[in-house]
Amino acid sequence: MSAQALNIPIEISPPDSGMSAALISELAEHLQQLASNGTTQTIDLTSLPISDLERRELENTLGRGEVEITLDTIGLSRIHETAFSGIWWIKHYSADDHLIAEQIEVCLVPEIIQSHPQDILQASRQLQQLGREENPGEAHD
Amino acid sequence: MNEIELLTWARGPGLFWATVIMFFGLTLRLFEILSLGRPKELAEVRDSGVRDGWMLILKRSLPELKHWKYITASYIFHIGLLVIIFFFIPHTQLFRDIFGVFWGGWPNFVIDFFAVLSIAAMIYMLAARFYDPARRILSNLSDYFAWLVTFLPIVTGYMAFHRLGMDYTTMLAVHILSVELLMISLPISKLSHVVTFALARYYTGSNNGRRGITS
Amino acid sequence: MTDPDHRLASELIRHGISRRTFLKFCTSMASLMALPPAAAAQMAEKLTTVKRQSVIWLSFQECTGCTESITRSHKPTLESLIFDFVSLDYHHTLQAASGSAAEAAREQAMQANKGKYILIVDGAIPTKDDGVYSTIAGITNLDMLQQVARDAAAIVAVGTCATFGGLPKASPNPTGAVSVSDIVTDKPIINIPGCPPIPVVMTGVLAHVLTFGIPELDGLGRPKSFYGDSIHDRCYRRPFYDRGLFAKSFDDEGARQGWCLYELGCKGPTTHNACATVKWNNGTSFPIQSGHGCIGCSEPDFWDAGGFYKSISTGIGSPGQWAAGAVAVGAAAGLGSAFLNRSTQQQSRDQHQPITEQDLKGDEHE
Repeated sequence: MSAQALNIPIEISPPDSGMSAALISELAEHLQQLASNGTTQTIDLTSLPISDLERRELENTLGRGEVEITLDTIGLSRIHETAFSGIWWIKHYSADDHLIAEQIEVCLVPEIIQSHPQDILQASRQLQQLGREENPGEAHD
Repeated sequence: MNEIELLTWARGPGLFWATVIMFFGLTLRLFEILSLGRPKELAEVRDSGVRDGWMLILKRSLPELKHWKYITASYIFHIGLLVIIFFFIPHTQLFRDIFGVFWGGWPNFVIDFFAVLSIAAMIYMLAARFYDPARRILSNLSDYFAWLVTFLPIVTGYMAFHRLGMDYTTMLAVHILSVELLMISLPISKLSHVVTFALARYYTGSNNGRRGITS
Repeated sequence: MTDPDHRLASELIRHGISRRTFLKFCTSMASLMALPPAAAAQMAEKLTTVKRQSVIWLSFQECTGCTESITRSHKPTLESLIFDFVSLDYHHTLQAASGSAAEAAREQAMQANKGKYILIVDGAIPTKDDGVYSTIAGITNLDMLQQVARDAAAIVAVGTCATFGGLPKASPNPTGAVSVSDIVTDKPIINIPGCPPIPVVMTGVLAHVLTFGIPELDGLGRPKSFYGDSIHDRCYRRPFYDRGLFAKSFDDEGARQGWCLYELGCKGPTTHNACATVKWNNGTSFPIQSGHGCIGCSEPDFWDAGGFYKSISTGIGSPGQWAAGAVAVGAAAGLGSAFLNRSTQQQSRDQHQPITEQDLKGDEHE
């Protein structure tokens, strides 16, 4: 008898939870707030009772904008702005490419992208140091 | 004692004692009743009484029009109880474990339907017993006790299945304990009719037949 | 030894761990624990400003599986970052020092961080015969736990042995093994059961303890964020249970269709853990997904709960034999009782005296 590949289903497609529609109206509200007073909001998709299928559908519905960012910190993070300005889709992956967190952030630029003031300060010090090392003469003036 | 220990106790020692008491008690009762035999007929026996015996088992199982509401509720409750006990899949697992036979279970929504019907029927029957003056006079504490120990397993089982009230583990433990209370009550209360009802009807029917009385 | 006054942030950045890595770690942890998304930023902020938390890890009557679970990752993973957030001052399996040097490190850490260190325990504690069945450096586990627990800020019991006694406590429990909470009653104890616990559950809870303090716990001391739901409630095979579709054996049609494993002894309905959502091996799978029922390893006394392959609706033991025995004894007693009743009947029949005409007449005369 030849070996027959077993196809044991590991996920059952649940009925539409109506979560997508609810999320879209929630996002619209958040966008309005962002526009009027700059309030940023984050929706954590990982902890919501929403199926993978529905998540992908929502992602498709929101579409793709112009910006795509890849972050490389112990595994990749893939971030893109959706077709709706101010709505960012964020996927964090582990070092072995497992999706570990998925979020929608309503903001100007996702927080994780922005440089931190302390890091900037540190960088400026380092750069000054570098400048001194490159032009030792100037330091005496 | 935490909830999982309670469940382990209910499934272990609790079930052991309930099983032993129920089977011992019911067997003892059956032997006692059967061994008593019949009193000596002083008059001439007119008929073997076999036919009348069987007829009465049947006749008393048929609905009576006179108290149709109560009887209907009773029918619903008895049929519902049988369905719930013997065809809810987790229960069939228990019976397979005890008797080694498996007769297949029914889908949960069917069981759920019968559970709701049974609960409603039992509540109606309790109300009828309480508010009807004649039934009220005829009822004593043991009748209400029998009602309660039968009602508890259905309600706790329903709650456990639907994750109502306490968390599932606790509710399941309480459900099993309530069943064990019912099992222990069977041989020592009027609930022993689960095994004696046919005997009693046959006895009455055949006695009447032998004496030429229409039952 | 790390300089205790060093702020975490600068130290970590020196190790090449960026602030963004931090934020990513905290985002995944917050998401795991279903904390509000804003908590991730707060967590990251906290972690960068706090001092490194001193941690003493005691391993008692255990198999090292819990340590394996938390440390085994062949790539640097986010979860392993937790080791950068704490100063693991004593862990006799992992530390380089051994013998008296190791014990000295423990005592030094206890002294330096009195009342502030976190104590992590894996393994049960044998108590029979004064606890002689497990000792470290000549000190019984019982003594060491009491000694180290005294000045701990909080205790984290890791694995089912430390939380509920686990395998060492299984019947007949030859060493008199007990859980941490059976010995220590005056300190906050967080229980992270599982055999072993899911690695990210351990790191998640530790991250929570480091930043927001002790998380919300259930009646058995388990963090609700990970142990709040039963496996059954979150199982992807749940719809089959509801429809009454069950695998009857491990290789029948039902098993191939991925139906519910309830009849094959799955303990999912009574087991609280995050396996069905967080899963194992970086989210690859969990037992039920691999076709085997849950064995209930994160619940107390799971080893003695009646067999892994017997459905939870069945009894523990052999109810069939009990029933048969009870029927046999009942029959014997019934026969005895029948015999007694018969002889009573016979007696009364023997004593029965028919009433004669004379008797009736006699009555009339009175």
